[in-house]
Amino acid sequence: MIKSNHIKCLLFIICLINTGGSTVCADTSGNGYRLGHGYRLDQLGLVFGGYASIEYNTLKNRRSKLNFDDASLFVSWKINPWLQFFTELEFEDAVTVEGNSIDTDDSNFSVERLYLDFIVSEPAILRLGKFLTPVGYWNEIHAAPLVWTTSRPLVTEQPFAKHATGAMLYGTVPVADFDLDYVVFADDSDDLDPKKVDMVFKNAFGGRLRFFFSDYTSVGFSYINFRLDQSQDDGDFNLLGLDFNFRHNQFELTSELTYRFSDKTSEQKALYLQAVAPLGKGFFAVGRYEYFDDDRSRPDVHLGIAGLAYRPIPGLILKAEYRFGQRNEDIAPSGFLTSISVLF
Amino acid sequence: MRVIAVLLLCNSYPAWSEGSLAVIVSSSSRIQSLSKKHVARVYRRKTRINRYGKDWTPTNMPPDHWLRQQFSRYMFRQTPEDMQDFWNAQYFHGILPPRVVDSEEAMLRFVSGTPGSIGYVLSCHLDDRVKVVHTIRLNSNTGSIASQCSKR
Repeated sequence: MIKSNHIKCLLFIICLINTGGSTVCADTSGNGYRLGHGYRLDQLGLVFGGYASIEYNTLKNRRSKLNFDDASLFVSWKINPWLQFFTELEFEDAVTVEGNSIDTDDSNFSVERLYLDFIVSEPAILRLGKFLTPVGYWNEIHAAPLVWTTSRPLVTEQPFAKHATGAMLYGTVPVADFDLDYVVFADDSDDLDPKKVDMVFKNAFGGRLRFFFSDYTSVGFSYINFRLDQSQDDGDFNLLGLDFNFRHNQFELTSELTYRFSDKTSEQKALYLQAVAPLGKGFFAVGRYEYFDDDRSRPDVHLGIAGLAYRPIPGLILKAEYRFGQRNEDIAPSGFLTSISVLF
Repeated sequence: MRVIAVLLLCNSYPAWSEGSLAVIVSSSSRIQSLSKKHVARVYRRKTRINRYGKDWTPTNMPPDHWLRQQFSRYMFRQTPEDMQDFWNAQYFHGILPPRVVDSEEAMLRFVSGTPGSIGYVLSCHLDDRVKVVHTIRLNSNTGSIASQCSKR
């Protein structure tokens, strides 16, 4: 068995080298490598994959920066029909070239996700571990090869922590003539997450409902009650979210808005509306408007993004966008952002 | 008049049946029938075990196969190529698309021999190894379906 696995790993590497990862290297049993679907070992229930992204940004009043932004590895293991393990290990900002200097000071390794899924029944799956916070549309598919812009909308990263650690129950149930995805979760990052980076929940609970009104259209509602892991006591936050997604014939319209309030601090309101249209031959035009209002720290921010994305093959995307706005210097400065990302 | 209508319906049945795609499970499966929505949930991997606790193994023809194109358009109102973004997002969550087999005979063999598996073949290629849980009427013209029925 060990020898056979070594041979498979060797074949995987040879396959990647020979094809540049661009073609299918799969045998008829389903084993093998496919770009965007990882390396699959069906007999063991294992899948290895990941994504990588490189960014080059020229922003107002900042030095131009080339950044090896993300290198993520996924490991998925179907232990038995009712139990599945998944982890995403990420190496962020591995190398940054700024002006004439090359540094690795900002690099960090993190366990982005680590969980076990127990399939309890047909419409109910219990997830235990560290997972992406189920709020809105973007946060759960935020990987660079899956989104249309290099920059991330403020509404998807400012109001809440991107990860939660605890338990989640989720599934899909039929309601009348459409599907309803539901999620309820409870977080106790304070006790369960040993390495806290960025904004982290102290504890939280909440849920999300996403109605699929047709094969192309969904509307989602999210709610979280949470405390943040910060030195000052901001008290309990409540966040209400609404999101919309329409996708048909390569056209896409997506919007998310959140309203955050607490018993001790002021309100925060944020939204984005993004449209994508195909231009042919793998090119897409992308436009986005963002609004961000945090009473506590700054006046209202308005952002506009006009961009172009090129997808020569599924899983590979090249993006270029210009960001502009009002009162956005501190939080999302104007300028050009470009990136190349691959789901491997 | 009613008798004529009934006779016409009876006469049209074999043509309808030949011009249809049968969603199949193993003949030993306890599943009797599935709605379109249910089949779609299984193929999108949103439902991962069936009501009897067996894990679903949905099985597809290759993306460019005409049966796959028909199945995808009927089930999701999208072509397999249009579904690529959906599967990329699912892959990000550790969920893989359905297994692919190369021919209808391979589909029949795999579905009949794998508990929990589900697939589809032309109705004219059905045999007693499998049973039909959902039927899809095809849009292709009768001539092309007849020519497909003559091969497997």
